[in-house]
Amino acid sequence: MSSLPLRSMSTASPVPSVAEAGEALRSGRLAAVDLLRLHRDRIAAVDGQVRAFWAEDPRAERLAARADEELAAGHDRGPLHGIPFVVKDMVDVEGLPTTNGSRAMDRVPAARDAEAVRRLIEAGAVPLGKVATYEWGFVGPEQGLEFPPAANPWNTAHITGGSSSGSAAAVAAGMARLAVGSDTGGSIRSPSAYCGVVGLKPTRGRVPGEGFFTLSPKLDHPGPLAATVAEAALMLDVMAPGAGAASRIGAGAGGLTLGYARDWFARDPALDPRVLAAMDEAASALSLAGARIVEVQMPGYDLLEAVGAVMIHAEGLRLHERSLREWGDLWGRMATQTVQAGVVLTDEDLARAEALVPRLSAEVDRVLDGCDAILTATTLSPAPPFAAFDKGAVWTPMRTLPFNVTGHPAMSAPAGFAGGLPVGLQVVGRHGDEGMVCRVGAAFEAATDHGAQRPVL
Amino acid sequence: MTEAELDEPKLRAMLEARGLRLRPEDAAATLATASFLLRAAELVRKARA
Repeated sequence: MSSLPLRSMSTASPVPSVAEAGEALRSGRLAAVDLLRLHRDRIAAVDGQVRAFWAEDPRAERLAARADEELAAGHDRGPLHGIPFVVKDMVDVEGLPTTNGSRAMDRVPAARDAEAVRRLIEAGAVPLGKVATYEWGFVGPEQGLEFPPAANPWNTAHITGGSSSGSAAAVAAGMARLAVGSDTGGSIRSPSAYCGVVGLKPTRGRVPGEGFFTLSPKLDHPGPLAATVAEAALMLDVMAPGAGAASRIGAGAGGLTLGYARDWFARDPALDPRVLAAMDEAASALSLAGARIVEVQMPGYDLLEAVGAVMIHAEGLRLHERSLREWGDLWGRMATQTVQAGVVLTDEDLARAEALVPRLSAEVDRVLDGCDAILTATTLSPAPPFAAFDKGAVWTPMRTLPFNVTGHPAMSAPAGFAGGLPVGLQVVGRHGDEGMVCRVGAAFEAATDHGAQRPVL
Repeated sequence: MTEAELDEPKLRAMLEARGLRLRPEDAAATLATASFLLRAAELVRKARA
């Protein structure tokens, strides 16, 4: 059995779920302006500990009032009507500066919302404001920047993971049920695993990147983080109309064949054995829920990681070179070290790495030819303590970057606890089939109580 | 360049050639990451061969 959390926990959410709030809003028992106030009260109560929330969206009150007026007039924009959400501060929100977590970024307010944010607001959702990110989305946590790094709500002496650090922490702490994030090498999924929430990296290109800060054009994936799989699916369906994810929730795991990529992480010397135990339990839970579990052999992890690392660092230096040259004194040390290290890579290195992507993607496709989805670990350990980073960046072992390289949709769902901190099960699907990923994730969620646990702050 | 050929002076010179500065306090961490990246690039080269 995976160990229980040390922090006291509860299954009661500080703010109502999207389904609960939606029912209350439509029955007239709750107004969207009161739901907004409930979220703001929660932020005020716990953000001193979690440090996830950076800037309030001044439009929130007006948009919540609009949601109430529209419902009263019989105009219902859908499941997210009146539901608050937060946005990672690498994503444009009209009227607020996009800081990317860096002093080197100017503070000019964004002229318009990122397209995915615009779609959420158009669907009736209410933007609460901006939440924390690692600097430029590269690396963290780093002390001494303009904002202190967000803390893990399950144990505030531990990191959240990143770079969607504030998105995961805010959802885990009950400040919001929904958050916008972005994932270039695991930046949605790893903080989701560390903080015990759901994070969905969609298929490459599924969610438009317009208005998202570019870290690596070929690896960036905007996507949702949420308290439950169903809520992540609802959010994705708005951010990417046509994804059809929510309609697959509740179909269960019966009749599915799920490929368990156990060897892909079980032999890694960096693996925490409690994570392996949690993954084995997850596979068993899905088997009991009616799925057929088969072990599958994935393409070599080292090459997938190497291709992704070369692409991120080669592109990263090219994108940031001017900023580093002109405003390098304003950059944090970890981001400077990470980006400048890319100087050793040549254009030929980048071209060779990019040329391998179709082959590697086809190899994952072949694994998925024999199963409906792949199960594996998101991270190989629970969230490390801040103290581990006192002397600089630390390599945190995970299995996320390969699916940024191949573009397959992948979700992290809460899968229990190790040493009092959450761990995540990663579910990977075929290109364009986020619906299957959500179906499996929801079936796992229904078969266990991991996703219902909330830290008491 | 291979990992064996890389050292701090070479890294510093490569950065300076692009108008970038390697702060002394960042040298060890940057060198460690650069070494990792050269290993990764070598793995990619072999896979393409």
